[in-house]
Amino acid sequence: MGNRNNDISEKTLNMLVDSVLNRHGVKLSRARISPREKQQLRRLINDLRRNVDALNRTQRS
Amino acid sequence: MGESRVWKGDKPEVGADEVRSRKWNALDPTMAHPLDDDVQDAEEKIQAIQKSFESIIIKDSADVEVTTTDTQAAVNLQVALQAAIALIISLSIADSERADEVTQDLVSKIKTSQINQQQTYIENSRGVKVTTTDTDISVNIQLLLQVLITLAVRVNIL
Repeated sequence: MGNRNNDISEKTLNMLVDSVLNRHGVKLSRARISPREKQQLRRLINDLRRNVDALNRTQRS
Repeated sequence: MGESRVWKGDKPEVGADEVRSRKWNALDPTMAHPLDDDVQDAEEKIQAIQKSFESIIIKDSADVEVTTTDTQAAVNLQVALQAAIALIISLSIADSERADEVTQDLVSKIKTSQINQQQTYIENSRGVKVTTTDTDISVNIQLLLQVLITLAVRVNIL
């Protein structure tokens, strides 16, 4: 059930992002981000993920 | 059991001792909440579009345990997630004006109600456990993280 819900929210968010990009007539370009920037962003996202997890843990405790 | 007059707005009959001490009573509609004076409602509602407020007052009590979410940390995290979304969009879309518009549009779609005021007042109590959570902000944070991940996958970061 949890996985199914995750799947549904992933599809919904994909549709949301698509619709916003289409409305503005733009596409996200992978090529514009350098490998170094990608690495920095990956680190940043992982840090944010950890912070969100920590906050949720605090709320459950 | 007789019908309660308290909730109909009648002034309840109180004993002489109670009148003397005038302790706040949650069931007495004639008494103002102790935190009422501290809150400047209208002004705060206008200024605090992305803030949450929480105040906890414990008076004349023992063995009171309060667990609360660090609301300020949650607000900061929310801003950091929005900034990361803006960063990915601005790096991957050439036209900066368009990038700004896309970010605004996307972030506004996932905005839940962001003005919360939580007031907890505990008086003359023993052995009380209170847990407070700002659900709105935690749902918002979870959604922002999901959007960030969706964008990151699309531009091959994750």
